[in-house]
Amino acid sequence: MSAPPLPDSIQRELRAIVGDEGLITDPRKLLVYESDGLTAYRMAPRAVVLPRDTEEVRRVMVILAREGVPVVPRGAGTGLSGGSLAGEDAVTVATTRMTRILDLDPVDRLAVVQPGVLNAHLSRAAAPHGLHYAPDPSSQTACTLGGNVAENSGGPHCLKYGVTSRYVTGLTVVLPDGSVVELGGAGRDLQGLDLVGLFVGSEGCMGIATEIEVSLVPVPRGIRTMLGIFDELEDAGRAVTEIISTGLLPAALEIMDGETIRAVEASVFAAGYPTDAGAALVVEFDGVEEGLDRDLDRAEACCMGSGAREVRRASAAEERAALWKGRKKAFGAMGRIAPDLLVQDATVPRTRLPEVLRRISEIGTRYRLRVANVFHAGDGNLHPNILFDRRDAEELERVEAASKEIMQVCVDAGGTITGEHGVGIDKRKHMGLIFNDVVLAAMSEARRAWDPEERMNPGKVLP
Amino acid sequence: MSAGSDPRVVQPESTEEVAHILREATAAGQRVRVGRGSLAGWPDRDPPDLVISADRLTRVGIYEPADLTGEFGAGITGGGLRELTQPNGQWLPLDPWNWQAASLGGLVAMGRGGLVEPLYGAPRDLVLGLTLVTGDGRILELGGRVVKNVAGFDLVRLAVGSRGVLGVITRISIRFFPLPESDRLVEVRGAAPADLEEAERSVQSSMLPLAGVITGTRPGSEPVLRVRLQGNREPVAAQERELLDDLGPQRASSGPWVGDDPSGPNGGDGIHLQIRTRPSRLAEVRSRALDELGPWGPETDSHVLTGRLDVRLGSADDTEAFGRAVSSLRSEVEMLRGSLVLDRGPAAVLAQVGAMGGAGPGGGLMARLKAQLDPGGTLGPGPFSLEDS
Repeated sequence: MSAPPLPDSIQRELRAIVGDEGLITDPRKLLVYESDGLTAYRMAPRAVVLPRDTEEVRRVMVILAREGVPVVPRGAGTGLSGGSLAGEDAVTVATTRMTRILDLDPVDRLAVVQPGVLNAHLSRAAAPHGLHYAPDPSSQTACTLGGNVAENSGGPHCLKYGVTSRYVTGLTVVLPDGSVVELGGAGRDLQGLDLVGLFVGSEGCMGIATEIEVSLVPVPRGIRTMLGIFDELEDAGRAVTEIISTGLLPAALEIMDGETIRAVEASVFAAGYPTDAGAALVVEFDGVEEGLDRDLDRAEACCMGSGAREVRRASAAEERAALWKGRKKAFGAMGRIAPDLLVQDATVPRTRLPEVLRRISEIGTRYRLRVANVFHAGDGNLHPNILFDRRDAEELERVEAASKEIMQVCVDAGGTITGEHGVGIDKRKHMGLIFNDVVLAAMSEARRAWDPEERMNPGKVLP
Repeated sequence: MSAGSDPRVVQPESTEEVAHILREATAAGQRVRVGRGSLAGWPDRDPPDLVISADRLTRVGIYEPADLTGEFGAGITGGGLRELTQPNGQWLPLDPWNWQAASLGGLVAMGRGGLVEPLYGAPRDLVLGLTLVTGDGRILELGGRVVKNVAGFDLVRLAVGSRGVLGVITRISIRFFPLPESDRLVEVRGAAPADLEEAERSVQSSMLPLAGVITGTRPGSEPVLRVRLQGNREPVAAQERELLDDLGPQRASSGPWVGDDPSGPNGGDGIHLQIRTRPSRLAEVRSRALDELGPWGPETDSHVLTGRLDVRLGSADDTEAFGRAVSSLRSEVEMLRGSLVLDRGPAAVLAQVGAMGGAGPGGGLMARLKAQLDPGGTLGPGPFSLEDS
């Protein structure tokens, strides 16, 4: 049963703050908000409010607090854990009209942005100063900084540069009761507990970030990219361990398996990957020009020593861009070969990659499912994607059973259930695999410090 | 225990022992302090009944060189870690003062990085997981031992830098980096203040991946700007050449880097102030610190890329005047959107100015988190002002 619409009186109050364009209540238009990038879960919100700045968010939150309405923050909706779905009579507060870069300080290498600024947009704005924003999730042309903060997003290059939490230096947050707090800020990080660190990755359960201060880093002067082609996926995993053990620190180490390669090559994102390969390993180094070729030579030796049949170096920027486009659009390409996709996101110690990949393959075979792997190998962050058709109930049962087994294999290998997509709705049931009740209770308490009524993004993260 | 007597020091050997001690202390209404204070030393507002030392929590859990990660008891020292990791060509790129003797737990609890933070990150970026025993004795196994992990709320980051007010850290998982092939120094000595600031601005605007930059001033000595370069030989050599060109070969020189981060207190009863500001305001803040604290002969170390300023003084005989100077400096720093912490100093000054400035509107949140993890107030507020201000 769908939730009742917001009473007219509340709608009028909200419209008075955000304007007619800033409140969506038409059930047909609300369908746009019924899922995120993980379409297995669908729940339409009661209404969507689109404020434009901190003050509007504050006023909206005061009204929703007074009415006791649950609130679900939402960025671009590119998340992959069902984290921004609104259930339990919730109203979605979307940040897609908060798109201003409020300050860009090239001297201190800082930017202050509203949460609806696109990740790639910030790097474009910083480029004339020779700077960029380092975390680069695959969805960076569509995802927002606010969403990145909520999920503590990573990306291919966080192997060298680190994830979102390393770059967020300050936040303005509207709490569930409508109060506004400024946390951290460059130069102010000595003043107490690391509340910025706790907020980043809290998946919308603690408040809404309305202004985000991030640090920027210089654009590297030189980049070298190569592609290792392997007949066996396990060998590619071994090459990753070899490269890291050698003492090299690539900017990125990304693997696509044969299934993924064929999906990419059959799509508009075709990048020239050999379709008969068992796996492709993208290796990238960046930094000052000097020494990059030697790094690439050493990485090539690691690949060949681990059983690569061929290594290709991207000789031109266009070739490198094509390799990356194929990698970054791999999820989209899989839509061609199956109507539904269950994306996993476990992380394992790098040295366990070959063994875990073998186990995942065995599980796929045993459950008669197609599993396509595309992942951040340097971080041990796996993305086994189970391809299926939700209309086949029997297949869906096999998908769920296989998914659970894969998660258990990763945890048994010393890993965790999510490296960058977040827990959301999707992985709540797995939290008990890695945290005991004492820790889960402490997390719940930490959340209540911000949100005593638990109205922020209810039903997410904690089981 | 009567007020004024020395607190009892306990040295538990396991997390379970720590939990037992804290449960008993909470039940008895005792006040507990964590650590032996090798990285910071605040006079206690109220003397503790008990001090928990991590000195015997030195167990090496899993050290997997091929993964560049390891798990260690909080009592392992920087020197102990070096002995383990150097033979594998690895290191933990945190190099604060006194690191050889300081414990990993203390470093993480202080959140204290060092000179090379710009290249590798701060402790909060390098800690993968930890065990926190809460003030009332609950054992929280937080985070994990993989380099990327977003499962659940990040209580690891909350614990890092919490200075012992939320619980006792007994185990830490951490990531290592390959030892750099080359570790080089480019320095500028004896420049006049205006020249020094120009050199600092030049380095700040450099697009090179510098490991760290520090400017030291000492009473009666010429100031020195030191740039540390780390990495493989070819890129470091290229950076060195470029920096020497930028800074002017006649005033800059280069050589191998020797030693660690030279900043930080000299130990003992010295006074240490830690100031943060934006890098572009660092020279101004340093100038004000030298003016305000001039009568006490301060030494300063400015971390040019991160905006951290360490100020050290041997002692302050007129504590009231010194307290007024610190208070005035703090106001000036806060006007410049920075912060000042009295990391080590006399009790009278602490009572006069407090270790930290106000926590701002986040203070109420901090107080609630503190109350959840240490409901009995067993661990005291330490240096924090945990109220809205």
